Amino acid sequence: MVHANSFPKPSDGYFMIESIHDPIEVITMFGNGKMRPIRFRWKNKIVKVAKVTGDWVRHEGQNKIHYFALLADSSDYYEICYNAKDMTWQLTRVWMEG
Amino acid sequence: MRVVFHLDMDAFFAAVEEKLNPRLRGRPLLVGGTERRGVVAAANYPARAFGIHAGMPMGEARRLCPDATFVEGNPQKYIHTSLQVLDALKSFTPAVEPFSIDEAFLDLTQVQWAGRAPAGERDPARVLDSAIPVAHAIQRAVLRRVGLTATIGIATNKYVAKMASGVQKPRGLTVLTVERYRERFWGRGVQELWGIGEKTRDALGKLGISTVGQLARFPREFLTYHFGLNGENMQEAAQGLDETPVTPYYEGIAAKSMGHEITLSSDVSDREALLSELLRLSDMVGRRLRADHYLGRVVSVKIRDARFRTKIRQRALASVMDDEHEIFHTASLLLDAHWDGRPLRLIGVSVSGLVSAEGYYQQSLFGGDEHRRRMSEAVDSLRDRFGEHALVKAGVLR
Repeated sequence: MVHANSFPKPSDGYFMIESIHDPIEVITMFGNGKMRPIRFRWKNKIVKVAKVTGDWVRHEGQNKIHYFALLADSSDYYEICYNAKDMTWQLTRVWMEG
Repeated sequence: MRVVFHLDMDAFFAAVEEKLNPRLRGRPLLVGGTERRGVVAAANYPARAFGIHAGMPMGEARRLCPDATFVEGNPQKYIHTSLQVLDALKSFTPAVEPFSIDEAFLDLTQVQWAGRAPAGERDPARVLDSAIPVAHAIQRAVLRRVGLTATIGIATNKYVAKMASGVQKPRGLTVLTVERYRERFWGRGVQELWGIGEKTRDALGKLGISTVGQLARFPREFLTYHFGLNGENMQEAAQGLDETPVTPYYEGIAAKSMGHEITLSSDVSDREALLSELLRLSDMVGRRLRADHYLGRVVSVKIRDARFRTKIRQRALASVMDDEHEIFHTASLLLDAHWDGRPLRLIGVSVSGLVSAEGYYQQSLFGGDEHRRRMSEAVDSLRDRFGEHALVKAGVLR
């Protein structure tokens, strides 16, 4: 859900969309005890991950939600999360060049 | 003679966001709540140039800098980074006391490093100056570990170390002996002291005290008369004296109270709505008490109206407890007794007079409340497993 009323207005051609919880499909690499998103599809857009700039975990009871901060090839910035219990991915935050 | 560091991460929340999204660098950035009553939790240095600071209402910040970028705060990100910083600090000394999410005290008194002043050295300036290379090493270690910069204050006690870290930021490093501290701060206004805000400044002003030096030299008995124990503490702070130890993270610090409060998204005058919030807050407090094995005896309610008039009222119970029903019952009585019906913008509940629950559990003092206790523990177990929203009290759902 997008909370439009709480958004700041676009400025300098950049804007931030908060609280997106769109389902996405993600190709992920697993190795050395870690997971690394490589590419994902959001609606009809394919996003290639150029760099993972950070990751963190949120606990919901015993469940873990793994978050990743990503820079795409296009330099757009995304935050996505993986719900280990449901085994689902979501897009949570986007920063795009307008 | 102690060697104490105070480490303060520079513009922490904003710096974390900039590190994750490098496109944010160099532009004014505000982190905080983006809703109507949101406040700035952190501003990066380009934003601070517009006069914006933490705690400022977001609306005011946007007026000062309309082109600033706004990012909603995300505590899990900052906690994750904070723990990584803590991990980096522990490699220098086990005596690390996390003071907040972005600050820590370190005690290096027992640590040896190349170039350290000899054990018998009595000149504090020499001892502290010899610790500068260690401080630089810590700054480099933090930068390597999390990609963020930190400022460090070095002194012979915690209070002066914290004042020192505020002298020069970002990436600052300041050494203050007690003598240098007095030279720097005695001519300045009392509100520059850590722990003294506007109200205390005004109260001191009524005694003719406006500078740190005046506070340091004021007859102690008069300060005690007017401010109690706090008067003594303020004077010691002004003098740069502080004997409090750096409490390592693994020893923990005994809690004195536990509470939760909330700023309501709009002013509320509906009693049922306020009781619903009190119930939710009481539930949270009870859960924390049980999770940390505390029992408390004094329940307090805090209310603030639209004109920022704040009331805190409390009631002592006959015996200690950790039960949210009892907390809520007492809190609701306090609300009814002391709320004049005006719309409220903030409401909070806390429990103080804490004791460790360990001995009490074994004595089974709960008697007829044993059933209720088991229910609370069962709810706690479900929430531990499925998350905080797994079970919600019906009275909270309005």
